[in-house]
Amino acid sequence: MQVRIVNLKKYFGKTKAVDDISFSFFSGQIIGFVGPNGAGKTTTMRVMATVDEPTAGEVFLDGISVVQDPEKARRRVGFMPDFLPENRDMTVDDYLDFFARAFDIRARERRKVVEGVQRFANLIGIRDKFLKELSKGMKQRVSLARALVHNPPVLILDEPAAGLDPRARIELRELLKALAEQGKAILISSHILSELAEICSSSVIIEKGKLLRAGTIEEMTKDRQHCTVLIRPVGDCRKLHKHLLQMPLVLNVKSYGKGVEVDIEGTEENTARIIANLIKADFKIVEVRHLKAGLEDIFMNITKGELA
Amino acid sequence: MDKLSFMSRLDDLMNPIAIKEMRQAVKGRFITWSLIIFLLVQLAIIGIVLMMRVDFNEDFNIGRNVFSAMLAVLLITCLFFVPAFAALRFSAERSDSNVDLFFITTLRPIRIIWGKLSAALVLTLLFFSASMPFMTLTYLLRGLDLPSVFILLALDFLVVAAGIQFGIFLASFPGKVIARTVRFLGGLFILIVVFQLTLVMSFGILSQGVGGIIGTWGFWWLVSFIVMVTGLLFVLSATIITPASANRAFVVRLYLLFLWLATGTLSILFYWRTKNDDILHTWALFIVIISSVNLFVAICERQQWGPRVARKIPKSRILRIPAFLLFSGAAGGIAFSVVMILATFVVLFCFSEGFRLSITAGAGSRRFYFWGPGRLVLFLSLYAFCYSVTALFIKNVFFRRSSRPALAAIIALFLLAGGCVIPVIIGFFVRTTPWFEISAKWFIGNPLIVLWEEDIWVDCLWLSGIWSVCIFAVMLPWFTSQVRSFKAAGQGQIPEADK
Repeated sequence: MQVRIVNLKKYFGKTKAVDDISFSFFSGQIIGFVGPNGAGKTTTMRVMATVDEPTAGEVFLDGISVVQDPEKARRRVGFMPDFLPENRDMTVDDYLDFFARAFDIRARERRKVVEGVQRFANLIGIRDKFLKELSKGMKQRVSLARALVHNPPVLILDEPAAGLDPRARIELRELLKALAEQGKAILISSHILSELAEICSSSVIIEKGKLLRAGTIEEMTKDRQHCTVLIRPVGDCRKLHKHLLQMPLVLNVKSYGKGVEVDIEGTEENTARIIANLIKADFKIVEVRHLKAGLEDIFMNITKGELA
Repeated sequence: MDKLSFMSRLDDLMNPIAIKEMRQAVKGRFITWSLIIFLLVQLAIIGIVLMMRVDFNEDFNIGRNVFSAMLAVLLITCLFFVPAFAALRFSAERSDSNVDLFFITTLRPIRIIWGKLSAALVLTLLFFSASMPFMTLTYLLRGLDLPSVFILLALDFLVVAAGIQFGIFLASFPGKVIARTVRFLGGLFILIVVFQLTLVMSFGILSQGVGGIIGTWGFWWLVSFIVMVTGLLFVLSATIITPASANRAFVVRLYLLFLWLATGTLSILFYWRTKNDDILHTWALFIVIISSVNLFVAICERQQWGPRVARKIPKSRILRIPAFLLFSGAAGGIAFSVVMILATFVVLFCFSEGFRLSITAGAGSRRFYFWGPGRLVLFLSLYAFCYSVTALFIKNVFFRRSSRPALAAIIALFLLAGGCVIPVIIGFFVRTTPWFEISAKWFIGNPLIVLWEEDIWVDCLWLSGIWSVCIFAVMLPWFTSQVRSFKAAGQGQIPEADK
């Protein structure tokens, strides 16, 4: 299963919410969809889920166009929007049963399917509760179960972790990992970048409707011109701070608790040279740690926080 | 087939929306309390009559009177509470953020509306059946016959179905709280009028007995009218909830075509039996009003066909002609309305002697004077064409980049309002007579003036005739380009979706 977004554009009057973006992903991958507020993430996801029609461009789910064949495409995509089910007089069980019926799942299989998604999303204990009685975390799980009812190969999740407590977040993360292991292609948008970095195999960063960067974190950082190292000496680090600032190849030094964070120009060889120099200068170093660039660093470096 | 598999198959056939709605109705309190109050009121009516110890040997109308009171309670419940219940639930699901029903599932809009309607009809049947024991009791009190009761209840059920569909229609528009409240109040007002008319009709049928009415053309016309209006509201509701990118006008235009054929056939049959051409004129007026409304809606439609519509356009040139008229699109919509109006005039010319004589006689003839209905039909058509197409012209020239779909209709309404008011204001200032003797010619922008001022119709004909020809000539290049670009995806350039 391949999901391809090809030159996608979505304009609202003069506003270019999505401006010619293209990327693709495959079964078993979890893709983080990252961008500031108003960057065009939700619009892109709504087009992918057939909720909106693009101004131009295409989205193919396993070769099926969401523009030309939205009905067929809907059977292949599970969409979890950024709002929660609000039906007042409906239990969790009725809600999921309704969606199973809506996807034409026959009566003989329906019970099995509904129970299956309830078990997966850990809803068995609350299936007779009314939706209005549920907490936000529970509703998120119901919403995820709803998106899974018709067993779609593609999942599009818009801010699924928003407003969840740490425990619910960890549970959601585990569910998503399990779904990816089942071979589903998952596109997930979130503002909690540290969490996305933990579960996503790749990320797509957009701003003002334009795609800025796409790929794995390693791919996105490979053209980086410096590396960051944490150095912790014995005792006071002010002397070390001052010494480092006078050294060539050192771009920036920040005090960090009992250590210093140093940006060093060039490759890891330069880092080794600097550490050797420090030892020669009689600094008692107890820890040297290479800090990998995270999704947050990449995001902050690439985006400017501007709206479309 | 065992019992279980039969039940499973039956379960599979049921509309998911109807099941969901009924489950919610059963689990909610609104319907339960309404039913309890309804039964208590019915019980109270019967109880009061029995406790009053009326002399049943002398009062032969007691059964009919009690039945009438119960019918009024039943109608109040089913014509106000059930539509309100269905409409409010649906309206809550129509917010922009809630895409549960309409986009995430594979349910088609017609299935959604049918589910909503059928669930509300089941609730109506619940109220009707709950009132049956009490109504049967009234038969024992004398004053009415069982066929009248059943036929009247069937007719009222039809009216209630129309009322529910009307509620669903109003709820199918998305909008903010204020717009919804205005729609709710407007709908309530219309339902109050329908309630009063239904009550008057029901009491009339009760007093006359159903035997004298059921064989009349008028009765069957009324039944057909209620069914067709319900059908129209059903189709319109499904269209409103269909995504804008889909070929949403297709079903509506197909239904209008069916409506034209069905009502036209019924009218001709009626004319053939009675030789009274009033029904033909009423039909023509009905069609012209619908076509005029369609003109105002059509000018708001897209002028480029998106991929979802383009892939359905037939490749065959012959099939593309009806497809152009029936598919979504401003030019096709205008052409469809014009064809419907022209076809209506052809039918009038062929079957209505009054119409034929009035337009074939010479200028000096007494007959060369359009009589009321003919004038109204003609001028409504011409003025609707002029105002709507002019609005589209203004939109295309001055607001080309606007993405508001309703803009053309808003311009048309402003033009109509301006056409009705501005000449009168000018006339008021340039008049030489007292203000109440202002010349009728200043009202020439209003198509309904021909109803009140018979002498002005020739001026109206000149104005609307010249205006129609001019605007048609101005818009002809646009219309031609629209016809040329109406091609299936893959034929020439693939059209981009509306911007």
